[in-house]
Amino acid sequence: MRLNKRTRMWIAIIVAGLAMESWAIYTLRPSGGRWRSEAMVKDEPAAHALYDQMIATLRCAQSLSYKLTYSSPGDRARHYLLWLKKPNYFRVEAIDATGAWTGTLVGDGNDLWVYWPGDCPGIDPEDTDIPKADRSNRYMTKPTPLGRHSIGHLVHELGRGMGMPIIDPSTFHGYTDSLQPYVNGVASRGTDKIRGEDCDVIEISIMNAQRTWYIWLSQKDHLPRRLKQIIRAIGTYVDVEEWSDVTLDAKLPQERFVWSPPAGWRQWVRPDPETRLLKAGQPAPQFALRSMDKGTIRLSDYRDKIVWLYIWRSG
Amino acid sequence: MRAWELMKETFLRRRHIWIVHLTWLVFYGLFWWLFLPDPEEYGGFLFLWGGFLLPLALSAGIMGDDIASGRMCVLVTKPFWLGEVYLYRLLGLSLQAALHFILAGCVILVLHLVTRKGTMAGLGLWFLACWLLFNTYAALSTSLSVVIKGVHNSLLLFLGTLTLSAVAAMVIWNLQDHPMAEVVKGFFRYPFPPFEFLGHLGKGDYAKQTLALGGAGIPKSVACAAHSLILTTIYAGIGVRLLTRRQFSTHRD
Repeated sequence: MRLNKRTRMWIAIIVAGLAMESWAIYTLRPSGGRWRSEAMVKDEPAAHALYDQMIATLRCAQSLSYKLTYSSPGDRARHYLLWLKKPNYFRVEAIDATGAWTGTLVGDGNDLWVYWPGDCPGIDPEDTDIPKADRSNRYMTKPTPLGRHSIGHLVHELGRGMGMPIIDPSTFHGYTDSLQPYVNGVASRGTDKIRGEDCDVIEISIMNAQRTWYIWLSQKDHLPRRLKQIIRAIGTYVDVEEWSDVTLDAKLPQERFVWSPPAGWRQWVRPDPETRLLKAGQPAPQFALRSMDKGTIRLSDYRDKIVWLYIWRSG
Repeated sequence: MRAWELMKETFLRRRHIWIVHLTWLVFYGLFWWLFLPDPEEYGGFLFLWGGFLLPLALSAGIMGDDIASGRMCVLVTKPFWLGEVYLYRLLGLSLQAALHFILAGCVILVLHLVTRKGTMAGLGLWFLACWLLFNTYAALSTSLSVVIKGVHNSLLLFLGTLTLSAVAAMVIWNLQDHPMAEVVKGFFRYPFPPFEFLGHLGKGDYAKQTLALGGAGIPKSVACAAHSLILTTIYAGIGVRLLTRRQFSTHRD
């Protein structure tokens, strides 16, 4: 059968359209939000040197202060003022979106103190065991052995805000972030300007790119001006930090790193999670969790079987 | 009369078209002025008003008016293919939308310069996403207008979209891991107007992936635009087919 010119043209158009649509659908296929190894970057020595230089600058500085503005998509920005001083002094003040102070974390060289202007945010508002009057004028304290404590892990105690900064401020005091052994590679992403400052941009793949950091490093002092973190777990989570008013090696008054509880203030100790655990022989509550292959795992499906819960950190 | 003159006619087809353009521009300005939105919130508003509601308002009765008034019977006597009537009407709508979004951009820019509120960053991508969504809805509405009388094409599409979205949301919510939920998601992702993909395009998610995946975002953005234009073509193809199969005569039943 011989097709006329017009039919051939239509067939060609339809085939081209189908091919284009197939490619588009393939390209736009949902990734399941999981980490993908192709997001990993190959290590570039020059870019890695920039990253190492940032860590070295943090470690060698005698003092450092900066304003950190944290934001994530769909959420309001939070502000933190940080002062760090060698050998083991620090102060972090949290400011909410309205500019109100929400909490302070002070390291006096031996111990850290966390205190808040109002109710202790760690006390569950539904917890009726603690009377309302006992919720305020509270503080937390714990020892801070040099190089072994993490300010990053305690920032969430300051109240509503970020869970953890991208670069742990304790890096300044010699602390090594637990993610460091899992850095796969550092690559350069060129240069950019942040608030008029020339910056080198680097991309860092961590845990096979389950986590990716972008850091805009000032060419002036090799410290960050912007950090962006992408965590690829069941969903994708993005956090952005802006560093401003970065001051290196300025004289910081010692009074800034001193705090002792005023009269009437009482220590608050976070309840031991062990007390809430199930006792031997007690039936487990029913729960359902999403599995990695998008299915659902229900505890009831494993009734009368031994269930081993293996919980690990993703991203 | 030349077929392309129908494109020009879509601007002057009904008086309400100018009212719609002006009202929408005022809303863009008011939303900017009153709510000081961030680019993502404002983009979402633009996407809904410009990409979804604007095509429905502009395409109300676009073919149905010609068919009901008997003008289509005159047009069939002209020396052009009937499908051209459809295509130039759709192109007219698309051109109106392009001009509308350029004007909207100017309104927002002026407000931004005067009030120093908000940021223009990322709005260009939102306008592109709006225009692509506008085209798919305009094609769908124009095709419906071939078989549905008066302005009911837009009304039906509006209610249909809301009803389908509500039913889909309930199905997905209640049958989270059931295969049926995946079927519903697949329907909304592929043959339905591409809200999801264009929303990602507007938000700059594909641009972010360019940074994250070393260039993979550009093919995604192109694929998103291609998918949207192919859907527009398919919806339009159905409309042209419906129109050319209809019998138009000078005698009313």
